[in-house]
Amino acid sequence: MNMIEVVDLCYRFADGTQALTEINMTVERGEFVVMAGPNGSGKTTFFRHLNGLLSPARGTVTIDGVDVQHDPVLARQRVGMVFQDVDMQIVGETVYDDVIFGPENLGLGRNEIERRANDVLIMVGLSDQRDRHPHQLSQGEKRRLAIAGILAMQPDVIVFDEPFTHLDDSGVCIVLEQMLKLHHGGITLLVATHDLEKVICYADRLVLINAGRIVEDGLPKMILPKVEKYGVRMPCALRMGKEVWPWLAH
Amino acid sequence: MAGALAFCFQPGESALHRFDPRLKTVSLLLLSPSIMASLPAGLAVFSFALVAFTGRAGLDWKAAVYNLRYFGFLLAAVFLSRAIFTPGKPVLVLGPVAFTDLGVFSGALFCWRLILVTTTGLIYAATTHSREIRAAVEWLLSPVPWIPEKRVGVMVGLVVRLIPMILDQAGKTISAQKARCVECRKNPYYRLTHFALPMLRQIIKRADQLALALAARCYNESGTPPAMIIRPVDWWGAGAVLVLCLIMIRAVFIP
Amino acid sequence: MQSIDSLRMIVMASLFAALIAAGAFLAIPIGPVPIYLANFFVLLAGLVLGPRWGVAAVGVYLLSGILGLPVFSGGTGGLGRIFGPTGGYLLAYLPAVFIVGWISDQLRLSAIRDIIAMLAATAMIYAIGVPWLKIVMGMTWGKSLAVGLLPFLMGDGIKIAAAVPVARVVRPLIPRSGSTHPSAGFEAGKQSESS
Repeated sequence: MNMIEVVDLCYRFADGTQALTEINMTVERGEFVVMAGPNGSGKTTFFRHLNGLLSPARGTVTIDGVDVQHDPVLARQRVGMVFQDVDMQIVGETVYDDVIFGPENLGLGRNEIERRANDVLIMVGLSDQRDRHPHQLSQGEKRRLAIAGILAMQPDVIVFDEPFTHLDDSGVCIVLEQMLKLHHGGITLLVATHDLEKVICYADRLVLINAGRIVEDGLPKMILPKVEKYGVRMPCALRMGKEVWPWLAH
Repeated sequence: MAGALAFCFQPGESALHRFDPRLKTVSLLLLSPSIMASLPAGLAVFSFALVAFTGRAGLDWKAAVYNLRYFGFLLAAVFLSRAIFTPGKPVLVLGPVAFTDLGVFSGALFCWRLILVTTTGLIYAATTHSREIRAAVEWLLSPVPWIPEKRVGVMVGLVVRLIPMILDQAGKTISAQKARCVECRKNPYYRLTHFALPMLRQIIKRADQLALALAARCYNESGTPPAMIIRPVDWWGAGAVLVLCLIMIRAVFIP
Repeated sequence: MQSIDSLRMIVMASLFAALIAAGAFLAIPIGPVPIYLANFFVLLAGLVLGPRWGVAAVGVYLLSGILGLPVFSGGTGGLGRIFGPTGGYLLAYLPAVFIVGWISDQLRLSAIRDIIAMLAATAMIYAIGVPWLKIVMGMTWGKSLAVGLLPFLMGDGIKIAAAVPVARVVRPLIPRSGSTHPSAGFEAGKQSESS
């Protein structure tokens, strides 16, 4: 069974603008999908249908066989979302408090919560910062904290909305490392970005979205030559006739 | 300022740190009005108990005193005001201003009370992690039917999260406006509207996303309650506080 | 499950509580004198959030302060501030925000209505704050008014005047259940998010 199945998804904003039109897409378990498009193309709106933050006007979204509209809470546990504005995602007064926020909402036992918190803090490399306050963290550390908070809920899918905004080079590398770790751990990843150069080397699939419609969907190397037609900048190396190098040195 | 927020709490392992947060909060709420209503004898007893007990807690007093310098201003104002304006026999005359005996006594007494209340509050904040404070508040509010206690706890946590962000945003708004010479404008109505509007628009837009982030993490008003255990020594501690309060408000006679 | 609209109100009320606290540090100059904005945000909270959520915002603000968080002016907290000379003003924020919210809910939307509501609330703040000040400081009524009311009148006038246009812009951004304002924000249109 596919992890994510989107059938004929349509959505209209309250002011009448058509945001998404006839989106059809499937994502297999463990895939790494990059979704690219210019600002206003509908990436964020689409992602918010995956965890039930928005309800479609028409069409269905199914996560691992369960319709999101039938059980939005389950969808939110299975589809973790890392928002663009990372400051407005961190809820706890300390790193530890923020990580346990999700599991507490799920009503897990205290021992299980403690165990998950320890595990995810080690995974993202923040276990020595448990008692720090979020505003003392760097941007990269905040992103890691946001990821930890999502991981503590043990999702099957993690959705990143413009994850490289405001990050310097080392911050970008930190986020990429986390993404690769998650990918190798079997989590399905969807990344929305207009900055392809940073992440396209690692993606299994590239989806282009423009004005609320999916215009291209396939292997990155097939789609990359066409991206500029849809308002997305082609990575510089390709323009010069070379290959895109991965950001992380191995 | 954001630093002050962060460093109210001083980590440690003292008896006060380990005191159950619910009983600790109840103690704070009982002690504070008792101090305000107490006779000098009661205040002396409490002061002695405070120094004796918290001397061993290993708290950093320098930081606390520095943070309280504005409060020191208020204290001085209260003392001077009472000393000068309370009618009585003048004991000290400085130019046109006369300090009366009753005034000095009443001013000193009131200031002593305020200092004790504030110190008690400081010790509470220094020995209680904000997570425990919220847990205690939720527990205390749970019998009240029309207040959703978990929501209150989350809101208190959000307030702490949001204050540094607001000050940040305010700083950015002011810088952006200064770069366009807003300081040339002296009209305070103009300054206020042109400061508040852009800042609020930005901060509200961002707060919208916070609501989505809460939803995305399945926020609800039930959920795992905080783990708190009351030990026998906590009951003894709370009992001692109760006795202290009764002594202070003269319910129990002490010769 | 919590509806997203009620979550937004929870966040907005917390935001206004934080704004009131930040208002202890934010000031605009009237001539050489800085005028602090804490009560400006109290009035705005009443206008924008309504009586119920306004009281929730101020209640959370006061509760945070009582528990020792440094949210009162001067960056301090604790019951010591409540029992001190300025405690009356702080406690009066609670009925004041209710008054602003309640009056502006009763009458038709207009600038006059907002100003009346804020004048009533400001009167309430001084009606509690000044006697409290008098008792704590041991002064006469004349001196209490001279110290605790008169110096602030002009600043309050400017804040009330400024709150009217600010509230008019901010209100549509916050959906109150049962209000007739269109729900703006992430569902209403592209202006809220750019992807």
